[in-house]
Amino acid sequence: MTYDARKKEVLEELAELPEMEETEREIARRGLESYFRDREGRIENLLEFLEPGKEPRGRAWADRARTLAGWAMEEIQKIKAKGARSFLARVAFQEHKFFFHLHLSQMPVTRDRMVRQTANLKKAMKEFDDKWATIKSKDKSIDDKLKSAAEQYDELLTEAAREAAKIEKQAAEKMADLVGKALKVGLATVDFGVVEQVLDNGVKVAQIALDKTQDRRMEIFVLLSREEQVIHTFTVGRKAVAEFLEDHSYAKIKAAWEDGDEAAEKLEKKMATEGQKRDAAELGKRAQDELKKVFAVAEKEYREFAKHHEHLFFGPMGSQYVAELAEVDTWKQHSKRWQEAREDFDDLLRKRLLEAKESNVLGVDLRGLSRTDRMKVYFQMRNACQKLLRAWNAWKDWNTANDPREILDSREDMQSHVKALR
Amino acid sequence: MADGHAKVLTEIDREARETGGRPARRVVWIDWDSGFKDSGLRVGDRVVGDGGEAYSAEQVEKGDTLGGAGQSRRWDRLGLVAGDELSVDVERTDGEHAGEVVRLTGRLVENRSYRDAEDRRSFGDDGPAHSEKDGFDYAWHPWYQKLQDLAQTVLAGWDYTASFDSRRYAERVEPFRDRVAFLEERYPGAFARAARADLDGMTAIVAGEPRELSDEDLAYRQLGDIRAERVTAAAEAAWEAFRGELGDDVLAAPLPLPDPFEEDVSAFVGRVVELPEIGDRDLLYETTRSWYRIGGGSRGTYLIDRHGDEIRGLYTASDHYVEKVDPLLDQRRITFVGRVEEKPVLAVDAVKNLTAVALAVRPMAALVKASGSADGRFFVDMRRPIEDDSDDTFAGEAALLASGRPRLTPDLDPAGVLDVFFQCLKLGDMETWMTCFADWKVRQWYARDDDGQEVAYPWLDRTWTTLNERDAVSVWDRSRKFLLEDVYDLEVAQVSEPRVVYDAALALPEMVDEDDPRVVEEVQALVDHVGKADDGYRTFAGAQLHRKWTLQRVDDGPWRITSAQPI
Repeated sequence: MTYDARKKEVLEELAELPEMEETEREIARRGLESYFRDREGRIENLLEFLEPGKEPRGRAWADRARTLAGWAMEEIQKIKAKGARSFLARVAFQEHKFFFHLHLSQMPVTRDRMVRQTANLKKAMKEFDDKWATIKSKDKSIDDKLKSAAEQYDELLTEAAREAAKIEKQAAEKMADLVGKALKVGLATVDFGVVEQVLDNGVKVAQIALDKTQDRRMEIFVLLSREEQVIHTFTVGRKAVAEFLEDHSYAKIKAAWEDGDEAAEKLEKKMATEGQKRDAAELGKRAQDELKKVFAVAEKEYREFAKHHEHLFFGPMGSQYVAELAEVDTWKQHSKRWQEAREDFDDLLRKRLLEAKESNVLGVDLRGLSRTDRMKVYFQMRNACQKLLRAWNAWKDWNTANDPREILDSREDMQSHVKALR
Repeated sequence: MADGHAKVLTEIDREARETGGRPARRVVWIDWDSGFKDSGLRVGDRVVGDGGEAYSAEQVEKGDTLGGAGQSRRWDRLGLVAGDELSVDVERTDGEHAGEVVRLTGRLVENRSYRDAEDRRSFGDDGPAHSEKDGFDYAWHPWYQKLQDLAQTVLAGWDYTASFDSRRYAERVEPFRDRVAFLEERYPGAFARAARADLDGMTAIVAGEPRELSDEDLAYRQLGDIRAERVTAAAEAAWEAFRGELGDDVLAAPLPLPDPFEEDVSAFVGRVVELPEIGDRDLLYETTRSWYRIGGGSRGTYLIDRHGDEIRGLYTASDHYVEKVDPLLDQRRITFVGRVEEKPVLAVDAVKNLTAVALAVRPMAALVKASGSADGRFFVDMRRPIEDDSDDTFAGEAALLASGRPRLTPDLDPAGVLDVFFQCLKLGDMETWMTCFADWKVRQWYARDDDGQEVAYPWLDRTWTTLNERDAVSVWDRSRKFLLEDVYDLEVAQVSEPRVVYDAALALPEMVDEDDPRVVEEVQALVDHVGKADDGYRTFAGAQLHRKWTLQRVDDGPWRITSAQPI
């Protein structure tokens, strides 16, 4: 028998009872043996409430132990042996208290605490897995859109410079052609309206380029703002995990186990007799084994949770996750390209080819023409040239004022937030 | 000189014997021609002595007392004959002299029979012949036997016969009324006067005592339809006013909502939205927080934080609604109005396998459809802080009668504990109600002494629960049903003096530890149930109602109920 110290103790005391008829002593002995046989199984069954599982069992343990306290009294009271009144009453009362202390024990409470922690960790693991998957997917979707918008923005900038150069070239070529013709056949037969048309087209192209650039830039900022919200959601998730770990960290799980261990150890001290103490110590040891199993399950669940979420939702953030959330390199390339495109454009405009002078329009020397003809050509082309120049200057000014570098800054700012989590 | 006879029937008072009270005989019946008929002695009285002598336990057991089998011997011994006066000492448990011993004086009479002019046995010289029917279905003698049988039960009072039902006995008393009136008219005399006295005594007992119940006393019964109706009207008015205040700014929340991470939702941010109605189950649980979820599907929903500051107002208002309007509130459907917050929310319910990307809404107000014992609505304005002790947590609350949540404080006397216990039932506060029961039991340990005799020793079982959870639900439900049907109020009519039912000094020393309690005291309380009668409210007794309650306390601790029974 596992819990026989108490039995031995009680039977020895019974054997020593003075002034008792042997037949009565035998009645008492048989009754007590029967009681202790049942007691053994009933104590053993209590351990089932401490086994690992998914459901809380603290209340069931308390109910069962309380029932056993009553049972012990009833069983021993059934033993009707003359001359053993005080002895049996004492044994019964001590046994009642033995089970009452089991009823009050905190072992099942700590067991339930670990079971609850295990269940919560399991739930949290899935919850934060799903959150990360959603955050990643949303971030990627926004990133893809951002990249596409940035590429379009690149395209617009280079395209605008190209178009501006092309138009300027076309207009200059046409101008040179027509001036040559005028020198040969006289100005009256030459129509400079064709050059005006080319310049007007250039104005339209500049306007369209401006509109498109503004749209793309706006789109990029809207997407960036959405990405910021995704990052915000992520930081909210980290806060939630921090809050969750206040009760579910490894240290907390271990503390629950240690509390259970301590409760198991204390059990022995609560008992009234040496025999009960030894039985309680045995029960405590076996309870500790069960609680260790429960802890092992909780510990495994914690490790699983940590494996999934440490360096992401808690602890210093891993570089891989930082890169996933706030990638910057591509944006540096974009930014560089935007800078180059703007410089090209500056060069273009700096050549002042679109400025019209009396002696030179669109870079074509008019000095071969008579002063009257020169003035005529100059006055005809001046407005068209100025209009186009204004259009491109407006485009350039807008781009300068709304430096796309801000996008990179914003991006870097966001990354610094994420990096701060490392 | 003729032998004297009291013409009173008594029996051993078993209650006194069980509770260790003064030895007594209980008056079962007083004959119509007894010399004690007009002495003030009543059926149910506990006679503790006569002729100036207190009865001993042995005397009571042998019946050597008034109305006992050996009373003739006693009168002989005392030298009393017919015509002599005899004083009797009576201990009453109720009325003006409850707990006191009252001395009454009667007279011993000759035990004789009467005959009328036709030599028929009769009830006195001027009473009817036993065999006379006087046009009724049966003769006076069997009629009087029936009256006597009924009177012996009814006059003994509500607490003597098990399952005494005052209304049922009232019905049984009624048929005697006409014949007693006839008797008084045709045969005025001692017999008629005695029958009248018995009838009036029974009538008074079955009628109960009148009680005045105010609207406030009965407020708990209105915690259903009437109150719900009033609060609903107030909710509708408040809702209209609230909507009017917001004007056209309120947006009927579109569903499905665009995904705030994928599409542009800036048009909603900062706007006030009226959200579609949701139920108590439209919740999304995360490990550390939970949300009201409005709108199905995994994308484009609205979420309201159930842990936010504003939402607490809704909980407080719901608690107050349960307390003051409908204790059985079990289902709510809520329409929220709130402002859309700037930051969207990502929430995951791992159990329901649900991921929601949503707009967070900070609630401003809620209109709640409440179903329980009544269907009603209440309106909660969450724009202002709502304190628990406020009487204005929902529209119209201030106009309701306050019932006040019962508080089980340690200083309450037994009547106070019972009052809280009944109040909990009225207001639906099962949690406090459960704490009114004792968690100990005084038991007996039976052991054989050295002579082989079985002896009982008290011991205190601290592992006991008076009412386990399963039984508690049944007792609770039955009690609540009574309180919403026949029983309109409960009042503690009487509480006995405390008596010690456990004394550690009397227990076997082996069964008492040093730190164990020393004493358990017990009181018996009588509770009156108040019901509705034709002329108002009256106390009454019902076969299924419990008038007797026991409470105990350990050392000087709080009193707790040890009777596991419905009201």
